[in-house]
Amino acid sequence: MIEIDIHSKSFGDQHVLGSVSLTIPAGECVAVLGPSGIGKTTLLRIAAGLDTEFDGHVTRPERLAMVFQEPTLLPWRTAADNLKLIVGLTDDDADAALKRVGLDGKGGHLPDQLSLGQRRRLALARAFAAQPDFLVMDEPFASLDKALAAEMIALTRDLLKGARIATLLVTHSESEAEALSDRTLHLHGRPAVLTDAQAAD
Amino acid sequence: MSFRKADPKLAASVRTRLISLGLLILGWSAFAAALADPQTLPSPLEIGRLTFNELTGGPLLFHLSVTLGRVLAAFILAMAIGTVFGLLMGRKKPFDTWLDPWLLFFLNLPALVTIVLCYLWIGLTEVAAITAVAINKIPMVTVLIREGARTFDPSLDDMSRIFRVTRLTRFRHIVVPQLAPFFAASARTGIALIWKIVLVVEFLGRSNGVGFQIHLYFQLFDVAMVLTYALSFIVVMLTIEFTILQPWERRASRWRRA
Repeated sequence: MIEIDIHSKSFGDQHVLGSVSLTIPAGECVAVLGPSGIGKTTLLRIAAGLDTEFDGHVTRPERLAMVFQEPTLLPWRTAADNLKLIVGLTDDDADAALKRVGLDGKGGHLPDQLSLGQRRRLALARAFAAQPDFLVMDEPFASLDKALAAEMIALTRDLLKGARIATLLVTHSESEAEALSDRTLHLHGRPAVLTDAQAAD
Repeated sequence: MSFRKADPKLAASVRTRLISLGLLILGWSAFAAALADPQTLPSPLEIGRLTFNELTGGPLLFHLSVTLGRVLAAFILAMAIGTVFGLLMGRKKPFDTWLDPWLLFFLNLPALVTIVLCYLWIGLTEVAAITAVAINKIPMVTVLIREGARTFDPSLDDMSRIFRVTRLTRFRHIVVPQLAPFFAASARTGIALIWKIVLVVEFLGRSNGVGFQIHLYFQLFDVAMVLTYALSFIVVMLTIEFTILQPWERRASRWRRA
């Protein structure tokens, strides 16, 4: 169970987030929608523990994983090494994880030798290989063309199926939110607050 | 990037450089012949003959190895201390604010002043010599490593925090690869500066090494022997540059060209 209870978050004299409360039970995927610059990434960084300077409290499990806006891989290490070094997989587990995301036989490639879609797949493989209780996704399909985004969404849905992972997805695309989440919330206003989709409309 | 494709360019570049070097030696020979005064400017051939004699029957090898030992000791010391300070200053803002004025001071401290002060304070010893050289080099390593640390990708820091990557793995596989090109660059410029300062240190206060020999032959007004020792050491340092440092620097930044 993830409990996010933010009273406020400011950068200097800029009040970015107001009161934001959110509970995500295991196995549920919550999408947070909102326009660019509204504070979605700030909310997500607080939820993930990357930003600790805020007024409020977050309860999260030990094991978490994140899919960043960019794949955020080690460019000097092969695809397999990116899984082995960061998540601690064995050779066999790394091969299996690569196969799961359709990167069979690409283990020896450096990230720069992979296409953007393949790098995104590798980032997904890494997140799921960490066997997280809490998965945080920060616009994971941004900058992908429509077909590739659809393919990645299907893959993510497959990976999420059956796993009891609490997922927080931040996106500005309603279709992505609809395709992946059980619940969609809207972040709006200044300072931004969270309401469910109906109330925002 | 394909190296096979770059090969003809590389060959042409090497050829041009060799021709350029040949022209320098040719110019030197012509100037020496025109001057016709071997005591002022001996010919390259004469220097070659003297170098061979000193190498086979003289103490050239001994002095070269003594100087090289000092270069290595000062190099390791300067790289180690400079890297620690560079990382601290590049990663932690308060350290940078506190230590930046010191860095500026030491960057602007003339090598000669450091050498003289070290000899005065510590005495005419090996420790003083190596310390003086290292002190001259540490600020430059610090500046380069600090620049390297400032260019670290913050998203990789976030990623390693999220996935709870261990400190050792983080250092070996995230910090070191990002630092490697800067480390290699500071090693290259470092060794070039260090060996020149080592000669001054030996000139002023040691009883062996290439710098000492240059001092000795300077007092005897023996231009040929001064050139013999100086050029021999230049050859040694250029060999290290081309066979160790440049290939290492290329390897350190290889992933950037994948």
